[in-house]
Amino acid sequence: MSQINSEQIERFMSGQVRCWNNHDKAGLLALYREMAPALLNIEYVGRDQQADGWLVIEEMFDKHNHQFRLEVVNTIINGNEAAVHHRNCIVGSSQVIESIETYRFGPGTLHVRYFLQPPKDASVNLEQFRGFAAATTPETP
Amino acid sequence: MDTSTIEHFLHTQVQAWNRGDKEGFFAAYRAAAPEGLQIEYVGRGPAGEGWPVLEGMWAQQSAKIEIEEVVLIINGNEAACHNRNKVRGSSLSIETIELYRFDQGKLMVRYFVRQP
Repeated sequence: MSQINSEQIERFMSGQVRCWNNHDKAGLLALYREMAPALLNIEYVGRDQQADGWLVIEEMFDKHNHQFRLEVVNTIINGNEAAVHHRNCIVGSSQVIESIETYRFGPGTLHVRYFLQPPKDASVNLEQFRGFAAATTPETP
Repeated sequence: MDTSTIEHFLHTQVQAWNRGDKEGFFAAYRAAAPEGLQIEYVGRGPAGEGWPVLEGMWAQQSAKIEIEEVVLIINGNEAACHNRNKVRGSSLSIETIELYRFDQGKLMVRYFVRQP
């Protein structure tokens, strides 16, 4: 993949939210495969142990797609990078996990970093989410 | 740097900015970055020496902009902020997402800026 432009980034960013909210796993993974054919890296900032990007994205969809609806608060694209503020709204409650996420697009590569803020007085078990789970082994889901 | 210290710094810089307190603003940065400050405007080239950038920002923008904190997330030794930079006397605002990494007395800042 050659140098990516802002229109391609915008299409990816809006597309992934649309696919997530439409429960379209195939569409979501197709977007990621298009942007990251060589490498997908996903990092939960501040956590020592990280996992393979494809595992993270598939697991996130399989375990949590039915639990969350995404709201886009802001998307900023500068150069070959994007930063977004999302509200991950927990279905059936008024609780929200705020996230700020950065996406750096290279030739065939995508590096994603998640900053996550748990809801105040969470009524859900946050340990079920990779981004909040206590670090035990590299394969902790 | 622990979470509460990072949070204190980030709120302090915004409060000092909004009340026009240059001394307090720079004191907060000096406390957070005694070993060096780097600032990068994402998409506009590599990070550079941060102190002149900060000085220029204050000189050019402090009288014009009031900052509203939308969200602040601290994970480990890094923070991400979504700020709304409101142009005083108008309905315009400039949205920014700002990343702060604190590392052994050094502070690396990256600004994503969305023009109105």
